[in-house]
Amino acid sequence: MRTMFAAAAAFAGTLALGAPAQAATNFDFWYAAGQRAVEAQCNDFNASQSQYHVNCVYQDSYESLFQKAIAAYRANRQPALVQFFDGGTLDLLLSNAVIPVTKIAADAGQKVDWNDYISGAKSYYATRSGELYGQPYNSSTLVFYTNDDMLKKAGITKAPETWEEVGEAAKKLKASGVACALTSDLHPWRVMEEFSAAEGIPIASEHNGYDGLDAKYVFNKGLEVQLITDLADWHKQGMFTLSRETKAGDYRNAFNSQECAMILNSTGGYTDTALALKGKAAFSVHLLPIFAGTKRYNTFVGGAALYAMKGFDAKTYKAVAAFLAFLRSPEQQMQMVINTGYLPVTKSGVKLMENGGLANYPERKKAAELGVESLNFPGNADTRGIRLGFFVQFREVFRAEITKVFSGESTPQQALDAAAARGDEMLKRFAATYAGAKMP
Amino acid sequence: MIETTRSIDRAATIVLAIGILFALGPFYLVVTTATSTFATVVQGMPLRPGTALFANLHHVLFQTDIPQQVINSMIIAVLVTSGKAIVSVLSAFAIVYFDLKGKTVIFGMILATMMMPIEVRIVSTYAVASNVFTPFQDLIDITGVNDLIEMLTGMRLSLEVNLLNTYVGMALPLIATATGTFLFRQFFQSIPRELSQAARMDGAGPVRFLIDILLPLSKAPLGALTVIMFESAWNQLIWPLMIATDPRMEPAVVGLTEFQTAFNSGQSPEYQYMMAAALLVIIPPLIVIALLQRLIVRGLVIGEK
Amino acid sequence: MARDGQFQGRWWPILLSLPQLLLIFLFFYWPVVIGLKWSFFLERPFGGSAEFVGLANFQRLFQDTEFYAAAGRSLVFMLTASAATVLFSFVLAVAADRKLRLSGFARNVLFWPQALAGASAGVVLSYLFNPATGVFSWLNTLSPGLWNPVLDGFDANILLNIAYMWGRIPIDFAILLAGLQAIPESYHQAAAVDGAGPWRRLLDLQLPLLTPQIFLCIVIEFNESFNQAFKLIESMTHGGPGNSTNQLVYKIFVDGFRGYDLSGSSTQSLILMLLFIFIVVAQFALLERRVNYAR
Repeated sequence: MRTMFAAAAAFAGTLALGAPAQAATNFDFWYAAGQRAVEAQCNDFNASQSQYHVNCVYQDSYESLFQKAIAAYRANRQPALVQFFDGGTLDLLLSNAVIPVTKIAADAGQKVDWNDYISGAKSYYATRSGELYGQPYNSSTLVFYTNDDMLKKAGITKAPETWEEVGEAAKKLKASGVACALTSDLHPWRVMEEFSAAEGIPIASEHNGYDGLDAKYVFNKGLEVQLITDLADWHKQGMFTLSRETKAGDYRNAFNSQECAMILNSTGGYTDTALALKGKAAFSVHLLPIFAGTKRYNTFVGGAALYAMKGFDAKTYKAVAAFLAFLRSPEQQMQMVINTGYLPVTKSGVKLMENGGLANYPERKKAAELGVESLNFPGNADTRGIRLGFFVQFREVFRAEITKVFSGESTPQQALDAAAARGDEMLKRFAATYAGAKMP
Repeated sequence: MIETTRSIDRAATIVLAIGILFALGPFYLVVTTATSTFATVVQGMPLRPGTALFANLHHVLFQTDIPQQVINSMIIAVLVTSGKAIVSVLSAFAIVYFDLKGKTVIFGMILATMMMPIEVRIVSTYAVASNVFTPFQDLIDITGVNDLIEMLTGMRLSLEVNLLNTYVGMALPLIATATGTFLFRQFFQSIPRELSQAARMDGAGPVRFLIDILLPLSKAPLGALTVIMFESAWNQLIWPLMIATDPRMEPAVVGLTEFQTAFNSGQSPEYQYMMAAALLVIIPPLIVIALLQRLIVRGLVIGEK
Repeated sequence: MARDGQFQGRWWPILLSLPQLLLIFLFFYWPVVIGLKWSFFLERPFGGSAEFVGLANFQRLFQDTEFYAAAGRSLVFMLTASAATVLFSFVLAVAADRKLRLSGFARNVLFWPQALAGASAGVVLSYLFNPATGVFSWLNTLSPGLWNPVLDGFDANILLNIAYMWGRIPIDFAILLAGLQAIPESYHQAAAVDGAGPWRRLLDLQLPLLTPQIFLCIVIEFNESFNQAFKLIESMTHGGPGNSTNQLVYKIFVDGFRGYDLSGSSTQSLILMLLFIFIVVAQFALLERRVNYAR
């Protein structure tokens, strides 16, 4: 045991901005998405009682929050609660640095019906035995946006539901003089992960890594190859534009300015689009296209969950538990949906939404309902989530390799094979790094 | 001088015109974008200024942390600049004006730090910043000194000074680079030896010589270096991002990059705000340049005898 | 081998360089030592028990073709960006040194790019050169796809070089201009009397007398090309398209910071440091010997 003595002269401790004077139990919460919405929730929580005080600190992005939390944890300066994003799930499960939220709640004497979480949201962050490690928080999923005015002008009356129809629509749009029929930034979350889930096909063996650390990437065959091949063909024919090739320089802006007619985007973008296109054009959102003749499965939940980090006393965790309970309430979920466009994550939250929780926000309701519908399609063992190590880094690798298809450097098969091979190297290294660790 | 210089003058004028266009073009674009509305910006790069400047500035001033972050940047840049100037003048002075064994080793050790940007050792540097005594703690732990202390006193030594989320913490690792030392060494080497010889003959010690003679002579290079160091401190991105745990402690450049949005948030980046913020963020360094402009060119006269 | 004009004293120099040495020990060498340790282990992101793996990290690296490619890109960028910057700065400085109507204005304005922050400069410039509406988009009307830094690695690297030059010309321009202005007018007159025209004097008089400044610029640019490249890649290309701008410094950062591969990342930075030391030694051995400080 270390006894502290000598110079403990900290130049400055952690900044507790606006901390109340009385001895409320104080803890830090780091988050990276939905700045204003989360701030409002923190203030509401602090105002709702005087026993606990959460100090919410906004970080710039999921990636830098994750890395900062890693560095802070190593240096024993971690916050008690953090918002971590989907891609880092396995890194956290094996980190030995977080305490499952189910345990946090149980230790604080709370009785929680964890089965209230919609299965798509739960399975992504739960252990194999169904224990939630992180509490699903801001959640979204991928949907398909169409500019209906542009579609109508091109003579398309029904929004495409299959990729074949997307191709047909793009062709007609191009013929009608639309310079950018379909655009995407080729982020794997959009063109691989959510696509694979909707088709019910595995990304990696061992059911996307759920069953063991010796998983290998398997996305490089079948429908994924078909999708990338189609996109590459369309690109050649001027029916598909890369995000950064658009005038707006960004796929979302390109859709919102009516430069492009179709995009794949998170449900979270609905509000922005509705605002931008209000009074200018009709648009609608649809389930992610799948290939004709295939069966539709649930899409993954995107976004982030809340994790309690190790290294604090029971009193602090009691405060954390109180805050987590506050956030779980259907009313707070509705607040989040209203302020951001994310989805409710519990059945009671969905119920509240249906029963007037979003009465004043018909547009947001439309997107949220579609998102929930997409998450609630029947699933299989490969649509629970992604449990692969160093997955955040893999996303970069995937994007780099796939871009080569569109510059003509590789064929779709070559690019996907290369991405899978480099990904496998990373999985191998991850397994070696956590040799002897048990998958919870 | 009577000679025909027309051909070279014409070429020179063309070269300068291209250079000026090249230097000013991006500034012009910052202005046109910052004065445009979102609707214009998404149509593609605005080539003419718009009328939305005040709306955009209003958003940046009142809806973001940029004003506070500009102040942070100033504090950090002043700390880094003054710190760097002091440590590098002193070390360059030691290297040039003293006959020290192992001087090349010291200079080499300092110089080696010049090319390694902090980004490639960021996690381990963070460990040190979270407790500047980390190296000493590690050393006493590894060498067993701490075991000895424990044996003698029954306690283990635990040293701790935490620099996270402090201006000093942001500044110190940025001061710890060699560019300044290198430039001052070059400058000092170009100063005639007769000066220090004369000073020594007059019985002046090194400190007297440094303060009374060398520093007044170095005014111009100090000015030039101030500009260089100020701008480079101003433009640091990753290190301050890492070490500031609170957005109100972050420098302005970090704030600027926040106008880009997360990949699955679905929200669209707003370039007009970003560029309006950029306008605010480039004012302080532009002022520094304007103030020290005269010293820059004079100060970078090196290699002269 | 005491040189003239040096002070005596054993403790003075140590005392004077102590602040600098202490800082680089704390914030450079010790982090490097920590990294050195990690490169022999498989360090877990959140700490905890790490597996000692001997030289396995190095073996993994030496089999990684992307590592060699990234190192190669760094070297190529270092050479092209430095050479282009010093060359253009030289041309501009020579032009500004002539007493033309534009000279005064140019001297002021050419320093401005120093003020535009690295990351936002990157955003502005990638915007300025984008394939759809940027200043080079007319190339695409000549032949579609002629200019597309979003897809074409070669174009992306050109863009990176231009952005680098934009930010770095100010310093080199100032250094070189200062050097040119320090050349006494009498030299020019003497050369003119000998019948040397302005073009000839540029090559035979100004260029040789400017070698110390040019050397200094090259050293600074070699170093800065590593530092600045990082900021530009981060704000413009993110290493793409298809890794074509994934330079070693950026790769190390991404592997460690975004990919949580602390061991792989620090193994690479160790090798990078050895490379740096080699470059620094080479710079001084090759270049400084030829530079004439005493005019």
